[in-house]
Amino acid sequence: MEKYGPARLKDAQPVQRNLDPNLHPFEKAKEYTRALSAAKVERMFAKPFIGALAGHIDGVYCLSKHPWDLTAVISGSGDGEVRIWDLREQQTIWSAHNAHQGMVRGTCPIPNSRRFISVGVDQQIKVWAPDEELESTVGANPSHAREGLSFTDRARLANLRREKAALLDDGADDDKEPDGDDDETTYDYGQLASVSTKHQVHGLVRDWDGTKAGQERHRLRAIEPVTVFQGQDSFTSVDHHRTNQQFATSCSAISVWDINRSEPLHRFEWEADTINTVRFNQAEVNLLASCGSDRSLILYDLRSQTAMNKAVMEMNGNAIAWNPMKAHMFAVANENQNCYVFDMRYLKKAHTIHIGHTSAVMDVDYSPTGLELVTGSYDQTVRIFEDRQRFSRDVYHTQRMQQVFSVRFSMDAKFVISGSDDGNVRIWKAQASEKLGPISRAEKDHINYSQKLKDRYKHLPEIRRVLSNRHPPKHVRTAARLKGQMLQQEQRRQASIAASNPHARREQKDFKEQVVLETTFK
Amino acid sequence: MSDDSLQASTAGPPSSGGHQPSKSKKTKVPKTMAETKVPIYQRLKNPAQIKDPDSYAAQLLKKNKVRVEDAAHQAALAELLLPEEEGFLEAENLERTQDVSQKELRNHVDINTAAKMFNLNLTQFGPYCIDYTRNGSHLLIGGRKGHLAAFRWQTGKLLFETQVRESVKAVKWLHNETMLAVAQKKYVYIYDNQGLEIHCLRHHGYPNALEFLPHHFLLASVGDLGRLVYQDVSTGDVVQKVRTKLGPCQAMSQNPWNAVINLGHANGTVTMWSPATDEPLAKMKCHRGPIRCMAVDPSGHYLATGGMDGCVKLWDIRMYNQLQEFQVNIAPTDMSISQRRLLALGTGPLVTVWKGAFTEGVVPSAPYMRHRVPRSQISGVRFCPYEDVLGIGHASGFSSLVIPGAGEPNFDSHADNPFETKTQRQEKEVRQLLDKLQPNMISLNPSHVASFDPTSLPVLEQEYDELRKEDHQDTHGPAPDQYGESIDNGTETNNDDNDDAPKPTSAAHDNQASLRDARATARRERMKFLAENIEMIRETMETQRIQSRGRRPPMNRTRHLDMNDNALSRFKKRQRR
Repeated sequence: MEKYGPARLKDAQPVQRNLDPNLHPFEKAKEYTRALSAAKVERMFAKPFIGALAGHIDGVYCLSKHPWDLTAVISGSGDGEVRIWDLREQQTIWSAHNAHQGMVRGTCPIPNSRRFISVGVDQQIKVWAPDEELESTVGANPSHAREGLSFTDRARLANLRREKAALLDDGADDDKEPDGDDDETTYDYGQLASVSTKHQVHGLVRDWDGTKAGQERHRLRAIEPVTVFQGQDSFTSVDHHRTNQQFATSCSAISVWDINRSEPLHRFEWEADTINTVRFNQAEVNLLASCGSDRSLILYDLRSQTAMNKAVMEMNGNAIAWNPMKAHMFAVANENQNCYVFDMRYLKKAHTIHIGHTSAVMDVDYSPTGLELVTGSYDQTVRIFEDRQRFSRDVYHTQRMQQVFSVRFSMDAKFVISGSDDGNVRIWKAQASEKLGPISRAEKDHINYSQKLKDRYKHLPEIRRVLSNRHPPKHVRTAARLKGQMLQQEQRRQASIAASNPHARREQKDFKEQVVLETTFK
Repeated sequence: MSDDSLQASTAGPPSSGGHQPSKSKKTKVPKTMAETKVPIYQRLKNPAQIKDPDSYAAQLLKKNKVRVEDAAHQAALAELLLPEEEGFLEAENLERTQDVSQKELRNHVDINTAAKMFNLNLTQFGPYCIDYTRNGSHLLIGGRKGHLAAFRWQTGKLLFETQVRESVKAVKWLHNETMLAVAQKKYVYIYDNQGLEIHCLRHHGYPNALEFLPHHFLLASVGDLGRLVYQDVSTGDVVQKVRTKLGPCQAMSQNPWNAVINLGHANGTVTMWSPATDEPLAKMKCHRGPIRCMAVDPSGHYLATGGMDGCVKLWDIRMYNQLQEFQVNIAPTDMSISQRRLLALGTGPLVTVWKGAFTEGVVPSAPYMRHRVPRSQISGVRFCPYEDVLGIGHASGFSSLVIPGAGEPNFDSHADNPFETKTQRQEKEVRQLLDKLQPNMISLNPSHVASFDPTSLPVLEQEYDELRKEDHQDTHGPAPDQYGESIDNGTETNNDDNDDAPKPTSAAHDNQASLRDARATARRERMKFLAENIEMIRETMETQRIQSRGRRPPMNRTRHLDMNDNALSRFKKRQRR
């Protein structure tokens, strides 16, 4: 007895193992049962929604993540407002009301600086320096100019300094308000709209002394963009070069700008009346891809200053995302409810087709790992696809979320951010049932074990049914059913054509080839 | 007999009286020893064959095979860490182990082991049936005349003692020592560890024997009605109630390896049952007279049966072969097989223990040990798990005997822990419930769960084909040749076929027609079952094929889809606004 009990009174009971199979019968059946429970538990804990960031008065039509600040996201809305969000605090840390007249169509941070660009339908490109605004609220401090300090960190630092100053001030003079510019006034959040006039750019900088929700106070002040570029046409998107001080905008043509010059460096035109989107490749930095309203998909090379080749799809592309790990791959969110992944070396067919949405796919973004991509659609859902998998791994929706116009994967691949027509920016978990926060060693072991079990038995009907079961909104289900019927009919039609006409059968294209109608080289 | 020759009672962990092998001896030969043990731990008995050795699936299988073999090797090596070893009585020269009485043994073993030999004189309410818990810590005895008692037999701590005022036919611990089932005159009752009746299970009529399947939480009973009843004790559901159609039944045993229940019938057959079916999985004609008792060894390989004809037969139930047969003077009343495959037989007042009985071709000439209870009849024989102890219930009470080498010397605290604390028991109960297996998982081969046999596909398809032909002949006359074509199309067409109603027949052939109808219904049911299985296997094969290659089946075309409006126009609308 002593031999098998704990050595001391408070010790844990020792574990004695004997791996003889006779003592452990039904191991496979037990493993299967555990796999089934693990699958059920995964679905029970699948609560991907983390929070909605309210603040925009109109829909959120563009989102951009910050390349090095994990917690910052820049969003642009339909009423011309641009905001920077702190995802950790789920709050706005900087905003520019009336940044543009009309809709903001694109934002993008400038690498290696703390500025960002926004473009709008008002034919203007504006460069903003939110950091400098933050600093000016507490007075410029050279120590803030340290490299690598993010938007959100900077905002917190500013807050600390303010608190410290307030403490010092308290002792000296109670009446004394923290000094600022003359036009600086404190407003409640709701008063903002009435204060901003149409032709004056105002910005909000959050006061960090209010901690309780509802008591937050925002400092309204005039904000000026650092630079304004005047374009010829209303812009549709903007993207910055990875290394050079250049950025590309799209309107009726692609323009490449130098940040220090008022006129564009190059202009690429190829028959399209409007270019919907333009994106720089982040690995092969001089490559550009764009989608036009003439259903075209065009690749450009900055070094030769020409368009390289063009593919015509059956419908418009709405957004492009380059795969961060495979430089030659990119995904196109298409108007025809699908998302296509292309290999830029061979545009004659789609490399992968991601299906599942029941309305136009509005935006697409790759996970930084390159293994997953997220799409947002006009059918009010967000879908996450695994690389090379046809069907989505997960579908996210809420009752209040309207058409999704912009989606982004966070830079740690753990979260998905979506901006929708209802004016909210939403944060979702990339793995719906993942536990956030610290995880103990035992818990981690258990998670790994469950994951392995699920992987092992995922093909079996019972477990597959549990794991793949989703409850999308009714309109999506109805539309999907209808779409299935239509596809079936079409398939049957094709089959009967092929059956009656051997020539037609020979001519019939592979379904991935059907995505591209024609390709042209320049 | 010299002291050295007598190495007794080493199995039970608490006694630890056996010789400890010197460490140097172990470290000298670990590799060869381990290698001989590897097959015991080998899981991948029949790895799948893939034609193309370069394919991705074949590579995966190869990698998996290496991993499985490595695991088996590691497990075999881990035997070095086991703290205890088994030990049997060994006779020298002309000595015979069967001549060693319990009294003599007591003089040679340590105090702890000697304490395990005891008698309970309970002459009033016998004969007694007995049961040990799965970890061997608790004992339950039930006297035929209603006496019921449960205790921690090693310390002698009584949990309860009660008189149920009804005849007690069989007793059984449930998943742990907090609950027990008793087969009484008319029904089965469940008591808690204080002897309070907590349930009366009225679905079990006139029970004679009880079995509990601990991994499935199923209590099974059979009795004078010849009805096998399975009841889930965690939910209370009666899972299956099946008529054996073989008359009253006395003998029942479970196969611990696959949870199949064996019943021994009056006509000398043994039937094997699963709650998933109405028919026995297997039937064996074992004896010429009624079967009195049965036992299955822990590996599930061997079955021992004792009949009224005075025969004891040992079977290899993997092949349904008879291994041994021997005659005893009095028909055995009960038998038990220990974790180390010792066979104990209760015949009249005598208990005999047989060693090495299950090795084919070697007939043990004499029992390993024996014990006589004078002026009594043995009614229950049970080996205590993880102990070298054999408990016997008889007309004059209960006796605990020490049988060296009977029990498994090394326990696994994740499986059954003889030193379980209360907290551990409670936590284990939760784990047991979480890992509870479904009744329909019980089959002759438990490793078939969660797997499928692709080779069965052509067999199923052929059977389906034949039934379909037959069905067609019945309804439409001679079969045309079309059926083969629709088989290719998959199972959707098969279902359509099931919907065909049988043609009405003339009144003159009513009897024949109803027979035909019954046949047709049975056939369709079978066809439906086959179609489902065929579909499932195909689907699973397809998914696995695709997953292993990393791509999906061809997608339907999308280019002719009707789109309501496009996003750009929506944007423009917004801008105009």
